[in-house]
Amino acid sequence: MTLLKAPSPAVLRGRGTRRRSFFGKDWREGYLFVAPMVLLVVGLIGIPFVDAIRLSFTARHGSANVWVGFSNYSSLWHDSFFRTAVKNTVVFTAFSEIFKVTLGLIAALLLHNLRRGRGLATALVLLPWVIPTVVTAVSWRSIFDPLFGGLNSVLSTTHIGPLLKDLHLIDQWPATWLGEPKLAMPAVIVVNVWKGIPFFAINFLAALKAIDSQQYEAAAVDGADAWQRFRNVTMPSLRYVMLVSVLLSTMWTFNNFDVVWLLTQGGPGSSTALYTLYAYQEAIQQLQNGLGSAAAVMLLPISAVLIFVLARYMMPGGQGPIRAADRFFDKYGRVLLWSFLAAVAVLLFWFDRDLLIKSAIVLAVLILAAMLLARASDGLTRWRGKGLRGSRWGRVPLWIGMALLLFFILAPLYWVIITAFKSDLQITARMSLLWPKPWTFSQFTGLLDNNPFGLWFRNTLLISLVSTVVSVALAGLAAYALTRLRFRGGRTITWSVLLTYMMPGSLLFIPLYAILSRLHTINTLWALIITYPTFTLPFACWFLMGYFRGLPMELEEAAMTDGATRIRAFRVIILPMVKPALLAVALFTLTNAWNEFLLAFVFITDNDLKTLPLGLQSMIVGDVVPWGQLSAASILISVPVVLAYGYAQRFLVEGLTVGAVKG
Amino acid sequence: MDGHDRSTLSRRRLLASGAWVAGAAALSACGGGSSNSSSLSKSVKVPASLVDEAKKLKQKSVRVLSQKMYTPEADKSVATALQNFAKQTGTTLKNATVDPDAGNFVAKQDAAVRAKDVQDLAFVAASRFVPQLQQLGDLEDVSDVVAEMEQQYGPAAGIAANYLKIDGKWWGVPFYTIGSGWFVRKDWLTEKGIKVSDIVSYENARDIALEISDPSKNRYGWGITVNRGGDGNGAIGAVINAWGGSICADDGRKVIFNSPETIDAVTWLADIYQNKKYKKMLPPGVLSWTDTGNNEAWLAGVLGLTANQDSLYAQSKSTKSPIYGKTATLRGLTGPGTPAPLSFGDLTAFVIFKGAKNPDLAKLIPKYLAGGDALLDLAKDSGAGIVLPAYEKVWKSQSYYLHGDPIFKTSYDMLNAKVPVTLKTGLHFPQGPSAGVNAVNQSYVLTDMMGEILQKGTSVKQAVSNANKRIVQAFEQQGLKQ
Repeated sequence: MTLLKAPSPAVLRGRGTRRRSFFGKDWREGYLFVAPMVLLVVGLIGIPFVDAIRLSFTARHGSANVWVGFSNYSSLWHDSFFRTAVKNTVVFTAFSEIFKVTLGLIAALLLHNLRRGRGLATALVLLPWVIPTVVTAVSWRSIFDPLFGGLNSVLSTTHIGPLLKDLHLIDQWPATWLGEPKLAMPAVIVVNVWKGIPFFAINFLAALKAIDSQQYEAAAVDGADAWQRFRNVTMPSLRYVMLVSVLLSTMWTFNNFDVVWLLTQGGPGSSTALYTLYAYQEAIQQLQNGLGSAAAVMLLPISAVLIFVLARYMMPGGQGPIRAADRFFDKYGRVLLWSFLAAVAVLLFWFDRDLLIKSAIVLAVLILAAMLLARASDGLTRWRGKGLRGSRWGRVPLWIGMALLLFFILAPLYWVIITAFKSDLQITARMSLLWPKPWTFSQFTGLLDNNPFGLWFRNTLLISLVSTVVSVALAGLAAYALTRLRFRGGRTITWSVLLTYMMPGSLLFIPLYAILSRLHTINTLWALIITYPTFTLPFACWFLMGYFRGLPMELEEAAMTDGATRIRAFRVIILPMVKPALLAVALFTLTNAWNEFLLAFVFITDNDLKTLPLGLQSMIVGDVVPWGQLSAASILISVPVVLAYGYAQRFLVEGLTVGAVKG
Repeated sequence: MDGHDRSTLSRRRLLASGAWVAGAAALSACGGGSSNSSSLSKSVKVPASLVDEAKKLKQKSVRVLSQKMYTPEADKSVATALQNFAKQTGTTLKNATVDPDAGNFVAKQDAAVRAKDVQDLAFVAASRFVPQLQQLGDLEDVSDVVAEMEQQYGPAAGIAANYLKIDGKWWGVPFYTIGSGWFVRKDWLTEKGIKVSDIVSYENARDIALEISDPSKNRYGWGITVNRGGDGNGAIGAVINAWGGSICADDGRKVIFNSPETIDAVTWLADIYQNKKYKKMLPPGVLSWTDTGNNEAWLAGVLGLTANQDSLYAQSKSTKSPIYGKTATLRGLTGPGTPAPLSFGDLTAFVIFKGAKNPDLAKLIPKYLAGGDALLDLAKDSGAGIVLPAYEKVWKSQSYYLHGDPIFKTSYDMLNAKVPVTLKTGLHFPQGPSAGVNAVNQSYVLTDMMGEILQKGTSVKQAVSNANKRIVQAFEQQGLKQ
């Protein structure tokens, strides 16, 4: 018998020291905390991502997939439809971001300066974010209808429509918003902007709250007017959050699929076809996964640059290339930024000169109006002499601005609400356009009688809650480890999490489908419960990393000196302090899970397992759309989330204010 | 706690409790009811021969994928019929619905077959999906079932073999047919002294559409889009065929798209949307319509002519639209290349997927649903013309099938017309099943071609040539070498 001799304590200490020096001081807890997130991201995004790259070198011939080298890439290079799709994607993304930032900033400034009703106004501004994309698209399509849509009706009544034609902002009146190639792209951009304003507004609002009010008071004492205070105090304080929000939003917009798909399917012709639609069409409709993947891979460099810049801001004090990039950015950042903006302007001028000029006019009008309102508010406040935010008169211009903004935000929702209370005949015959006569509940009763709405509701609630808990737990653990623990590979993991943004979800789902099938989770709620957190983890992680960074390290060090383990210190000391941030992340994840459509659409087939957005979509059969029941369902779907936001939006802003927006 | 805090707290409490109340109310109002639990008010008796056949398959289960059928009543009817079958045979049938227009049906089913986790049985539009699924190797041969069905119910509709028979074998079992054609506002025609029978050819239809148009009264004659979508695809393809052109030869394998006939047809069609003369007959936004566009405009009462499946007719009937009583139907239009309309209706067929767990039980379902009381219930529940028989003897088995609605007889004539129709160019329609044509339609090559002409100003000749290249590529990607 051979007796194994236990290593001596000195040997063990030596091994431990060597491990610590190699893996990092906190390697055990670090790896333990990030492992669940890494497993999920690698398994459900990393592997499909690698598979998509492999697929880009293959083509389907009959039932076989054959290796074709770079031929997919060379055929894309010569494909005029692909070139159009890339051009459209750049135009769509650039104009969407310009307007989202501008309107988001105006919304945040208005909300920040409101004294009464801010909570309600913030909840209303958040609505477009909360409403499912299916509902958004259905409503806007109906609003844009040239014959019966609310937009043409309102613009005709107010004579704004003919005025737009006289100003040469549109070519004909009545306008066919989604039918004319020149108007279709601006129209889908408007919808994307409408849906994207809340993200910027809430981030900017949080950043504004974080600005020390003494700075404004000092500037006011020095005689700075509203514009000077905005330029010299507000803007520098918003720089970080603006950059990170723009980068994140740019990546989301660049990879957007559902809004355009549901509005125009890329038409008329290919005037709104984005590269994601091209990839989807090739990969899914024509079963050419290779060409579709190649289309996505071709544009990876653009996403990669955005991610590199994002990483630079999200991981301050980095090492290696990041640190070198830091030095480079510090030295040439301003020049680079202006060069980039100039290059984008030239590109947009080349791609669509007409749209650029018209957008510049609209943007100038928006900024001018905002400045006028700010000046008027400032003037009235000074005139009444009651301090910076004390005058009731000074708030009148703010409320005018708020009312205009809320009109833009709420008008589509009004359309949904009135449609839900019309009869089928009123809807199909386009009677009672802006006011149901009579009001009827028939759409609600029809919806509940003909559809398993309760089951859809229950499934959505279950999936949303479970995936939110999973997402918050994993993101919380990972963000804590990545910001406060030292272990080898931490930065690489942070990078890898950001890389998940590079591939559009619309392309990952075929490899994902195969993986989930092998796990026997296809057509089960588990498929959604495990995939939903994966796609919200990067944002949640970034959000929480900013928050954790803001907490003094001494807190858990003191606890550990008193004998607490790292895990106990995390649980007892840190967790209670980050509750607002966890709640904010939970809201974000909950909204995403509540509204998610694409993955549910692909992974779920059984009626009993459908979620609400999927159920809504399944009510549309071919060319028969039950508008009334869809609108009724939209209201019922949105009410719980709207109420949840009404209750918790304060925590969302608080969470952002304390942590993430400070970087 | 000050007053402000109290009001904030109470408001928040109110909102929080409101969210739970709303959730609970929604849940309790709906009671977790499901379409599968719809009342089994009708209890169709399963034929004794099938109950006997199913005896040896007791305790077995089958997963069925049902194509959505335009009305919730029809979907419920299918679910109810399947439950009846399961109850009376001691088997288990799990039913799910699928929207064929979702665009990812083939990709999803192909992935499911490869993952060995696929439903046993599905019923889907025959011409759109069966050839492509067969080409991908996803389907089982069902020739034995079709032989039995034809023995019992007589020959299947003439189009069935064209859509389902490949290399001498049947890959789908005919289930039901659906009519399609042109819908015309007979009241507008009467006002102008025009008879429905005056509309014979595409040229007639265009000229009459122009004549009955009056934008000041919101009347637009030409309710046909060429935008991306199934309707756009169908409209362009139909015009090309009527001029004597085709995507491929009769065998469904050889691409012959770039021909003088195709160029003439596309030139004629593009002229409608480019020539100012026709502007007043085009409804605003017609070029942005997806598949719902013409339905909505038709039901809104602003269109003079449009083409669709009979689902449009059924929808006007079920919504009690005043348009229903003003609708006349035409089975199709002729063109310079064809002496007879190339309208044959469509067919829905059962397919059994490769890797099905219980194919023997799956094969009993078509025998139960495609005839007898089960089909009659389905036809009645689904509305006017959405479900009609696929076999000769079934048509004659109940007077409802021919006289239940004025449109049924015309559907019967169309679906049972002698095929094939020979074009002046020697092509025969309906053509053979083609995975290539399926792929071309799914990738909207034809609508993209029209987009190039109408939006980018590309010449018709060039656009047809560009489309031809894409079509060749699509066929080769399906393994059909050119």
